[in-house]
Amino acid sequence: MGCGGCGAVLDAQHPDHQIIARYEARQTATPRIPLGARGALKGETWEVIGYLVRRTEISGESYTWFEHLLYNPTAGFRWLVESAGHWTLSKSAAAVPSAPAGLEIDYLGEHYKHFQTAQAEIAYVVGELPWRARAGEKVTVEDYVRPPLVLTCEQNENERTWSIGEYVEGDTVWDAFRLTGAPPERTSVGPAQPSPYRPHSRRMLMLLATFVGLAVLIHLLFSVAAQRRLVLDQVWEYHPRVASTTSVETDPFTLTGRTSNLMVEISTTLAQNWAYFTVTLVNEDTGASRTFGREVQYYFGRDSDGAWTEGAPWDRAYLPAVPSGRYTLLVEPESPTPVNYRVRLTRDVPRALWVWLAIVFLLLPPLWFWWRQWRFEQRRWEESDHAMTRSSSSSDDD
Amino acid sequence: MSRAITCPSCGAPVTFASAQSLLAVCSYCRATLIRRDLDVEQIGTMAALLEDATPLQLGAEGVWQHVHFAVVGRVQVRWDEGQWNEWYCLFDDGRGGWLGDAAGEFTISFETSVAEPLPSWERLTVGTRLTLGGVTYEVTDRREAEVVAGEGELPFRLEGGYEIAAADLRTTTARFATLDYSQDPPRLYTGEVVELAALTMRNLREVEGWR
Repeated sequence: MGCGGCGAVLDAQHPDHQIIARYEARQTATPRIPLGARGALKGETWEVIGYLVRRTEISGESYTWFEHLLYNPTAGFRWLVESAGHWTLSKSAAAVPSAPAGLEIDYLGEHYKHFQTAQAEIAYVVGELPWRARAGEKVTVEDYVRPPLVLTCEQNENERTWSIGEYVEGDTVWDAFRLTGAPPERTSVGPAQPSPYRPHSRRMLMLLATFVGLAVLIHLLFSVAAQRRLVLDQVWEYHPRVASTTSVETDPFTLTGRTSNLMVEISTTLAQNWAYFTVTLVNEDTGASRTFGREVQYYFGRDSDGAWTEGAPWDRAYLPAVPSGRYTLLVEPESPTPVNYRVRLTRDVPRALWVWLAIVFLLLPPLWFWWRQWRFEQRRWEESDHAMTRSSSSSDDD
Repeated sequence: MSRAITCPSCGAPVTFASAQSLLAVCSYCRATLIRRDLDVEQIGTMAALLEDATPLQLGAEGVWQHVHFAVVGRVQVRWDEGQWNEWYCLFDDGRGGWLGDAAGEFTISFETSVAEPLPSWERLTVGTRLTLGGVTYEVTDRREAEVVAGEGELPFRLEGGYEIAAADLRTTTARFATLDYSQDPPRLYTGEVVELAALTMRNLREVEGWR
């Protein structure tokens, strides 16, 4: 036992309570939870009987954490550990983990990932411990995590002990022991802190799959119902110096059915040249018209890299939302060379574009979610021996 | 099975609850009694137990793997950095087993024999892997200790101050074994790590300040 008043450590096993060590006698540390306090955690009542301050140095920086020894006569001992505002409740492991395979270890059939290995020493001890603890005593501490669980190995030359801990919210600790004020602010992400995203990850995937499936289904239904009707198929010749060929008009044709798109295909006999088609669709009933231009160019050749082509002798465009009615088409070609061309109009052609757009749109929320999840894990692992990236700004907390 | 006798030292009643028990400590005068065919013989006086915070006591009862047991004896052991108890338990299926009680960690084990030869004490180190009875164990603890005292009835002779050497072994599935080197040949006990709460214990000791 350690005496809170003077820092002496008494050996409680011997009847004369002989002082076995005295250290940091001037330093007093006040436990976050006072010795003697009782609280209910995980269905048991615990009394704080001992308190340790432990310290480690990682790349020149000193880290301190605080361990409260809890006791219940029938349930035994637990450690309630606070590090940077993150709490874990741990007990000695009933089984031995398997030998580490790379950076993973198995405990009772579950994988744990190596988080950190550090040399830890006892900086301060007060209260009662079932074994001797001496200030300055050093052990190697290895942490393996599987949030919310953490498997810890402490070893020195003589022994190796494993303990298994579970993350506890600071508020839960504060409520359990009816402490005043607020629990210490937590910094970054704790090694065993459960991800708020992970439990929803699967549902996110399910939702995405459902909506993508729905979008594809809707597309298929529209495809089945689509008319895909060829309403015009006409061939003209263009000659740059023949005025009558610079503007041609079709006979009226009828578009039926619901307001839907119109596919405009122009195929030409162009080679090593270009043509520009100004196309106007005129509604004979209302006089409304829509004009658009299409450029067709086709070049090919052979160079040191082999054969090449650029462009194509044909073009395809879609006019969206064309109401039913009687229409004529006005075509005004322009080209430096004579060209034969064919214009085909197809009414109501299903387009996969909309499905792709829907998928991109549907992906946005899950991508944001997954990014947040990744960032959370990245911040957890930043504190470990295995940082996911070396980020220079680790200050964005939330 | 239970057999009541009179303590030859003080005349108080002493019970041998099990035919397997060899030794009993008189709860009044601490006389250490050895069972003979028809009578008992006092071989000495048992040293006093050290006070500890164990929740167990003689007369406590529990259930393990659907078999009821009663706590009838205790060996208290001390080592450099602490102390622990081995409670001798009589199970209703006739077996005598041990409920280990070390700093709030509890185990149940029974003496077992295996085909494999047991390793020598010198060869055992923490972390050593051993296969015993087809089960692979890892040595998690190896310590030399000293018997403080015993109470109740026990299956072997015991006296305070006796030096023992024992190693604890565990598996990846929470099975447990102890190798006891205090006699030659060493003895092997196998069982499992348990939670006291899972043993539905009755008649536990009242620990001051706890109910």
